[in-house]
Amino acid sequence: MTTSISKTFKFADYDEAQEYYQANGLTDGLPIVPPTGAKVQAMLDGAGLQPSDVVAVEGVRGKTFVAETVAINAVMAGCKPEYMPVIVAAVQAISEPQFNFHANSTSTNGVGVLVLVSGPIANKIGINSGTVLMGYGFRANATIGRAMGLLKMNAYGSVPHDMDKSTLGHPGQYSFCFAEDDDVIPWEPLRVEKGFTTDASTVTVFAANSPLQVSTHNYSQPPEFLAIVSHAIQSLGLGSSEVVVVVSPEILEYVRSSGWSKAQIKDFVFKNIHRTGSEWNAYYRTEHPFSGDDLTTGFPVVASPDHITLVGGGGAAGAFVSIIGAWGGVSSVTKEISTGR
Amino acid sequence: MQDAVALERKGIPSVVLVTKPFNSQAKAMANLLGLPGYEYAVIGHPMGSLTDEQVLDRAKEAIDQVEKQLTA
Repeated sequence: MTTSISKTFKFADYDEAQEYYQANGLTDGLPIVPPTGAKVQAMLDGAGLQPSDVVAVEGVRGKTFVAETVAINAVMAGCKPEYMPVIVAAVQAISEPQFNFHANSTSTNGVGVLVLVSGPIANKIGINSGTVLMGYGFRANATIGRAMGLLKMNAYGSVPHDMDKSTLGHPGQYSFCFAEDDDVIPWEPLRVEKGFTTDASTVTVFAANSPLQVSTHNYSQPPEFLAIVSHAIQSLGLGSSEVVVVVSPEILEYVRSSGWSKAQIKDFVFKNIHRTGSEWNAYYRTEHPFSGDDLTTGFPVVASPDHITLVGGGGAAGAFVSIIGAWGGVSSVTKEISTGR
Repeated sequence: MQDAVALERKGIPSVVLVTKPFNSQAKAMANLLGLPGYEYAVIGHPMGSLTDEQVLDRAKEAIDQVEKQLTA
C-alpha cells in the first residue's frame, strides 16, 4: 500500500458523497463512484503506478497529470483497474502539443476526446468494437471515455460555462471511446498504419465533433458508396483538421471483394471532397468568400488523404458509415498502451 | 490569456481583449494561471460578421480599456 498524496474527505454515507461531488462541480452530471483509498490504489496498481508518478505534462498550458489524480477520476468514472493503462496512454496522447488540449477543451467548437483503441487489449478488457460500438451498453467504452471527460474538468480545469465554452457541445463529451474490430477489417489495423506492431495496442485521440451517420444501402461498388461518404464529409465544410470514417462490416465485405486497398479508398475520398471556391461560396461555407482564380480551384475538406482515418467496426447488419470531423488546427495523436506484454 | 501572460512575463506589455461571452473564461484562465484579478479588456460580441464600421465601434469600446491597462 502506497501513501496517498491527495486530500481526503469523510462522508456520513454514499448519498452525502454524491451530493458533495455534484454541488462542487466535480462530475459530468452523472453520479460518480466515490474514489476511496482502496479503489484508487487498485486503479494505480492496474498500471503499475505510484501516486506521485507523472503520467504526462500537457504541452501548452504546462499542466501536470499526476498518476493519483488520473486514478481518482478513473475510479469516479466507474473504470476497472485493467482499463487504467488505456487511460494513461490517452492522457499522454492528449498532452502532446500538437493535440492542443488547452484550446480544444475550451473552444466554442464543442469538442469531445475520441479515444480510439486498436489492438488486442480491446478484446482483453472488453472495449466494444461490434454492434452499437459508438453507443451504450459496455462498461469499458462508457467509463474510459467518461474518465477522459472527468479529467478534463477535474485535472485540467476545463469546466463547462467557465473554461469550456462549447457553444452546443455533443453527447460524446460524456464519453467517446470504441475499438477497431480486427476481425472485420480488410486492411491493416490503425496501429500498424501508425507504425506499431500488430501485437501492440494503441490509443489514438481525436478532438472530435459529433458523429454524422449516413446510409450506403443498395450500393456495393466502392465508387458508389464512397461517393456517398465523400458527399457526407463535404457537409463538414472547410476547417476540420481531420476526419474519421467508421465503416460497418457489411460495407467492409464489399471493400474486401472489390480488392480496393485502404490507400485507394483514401485517395478516392480525398479527390471527391474537393469543391471549387465558387461552390463553397454558393453554400456560404467559408468565412471569407473565395475570389479570382480560387473560384475555379478545388479546395478539399481536409488537407490530404493522410488526414482521413478509416476504421472498421460495428454490427454485422447494416450498411452505415459514421463521419467524425476533428477540430481545426490540431492533430490526432497515437500512443502505445503499456500492457506489460 | 495564455499568450498575454507569457508575453508579460517576458517583459512585453500585453492586453487581452475578450468579447462579453468570454468574460467568465478569461477570469477562470487567469485563476488557473495563478493570476486572479488579472485585468483585461471586454468588448461587445460578436466580431465575426461585422462591417468595417462596426469593427471600428468595437475598437472605440476597447481603446480606453487598452490604454488604461498598458499604462497601469
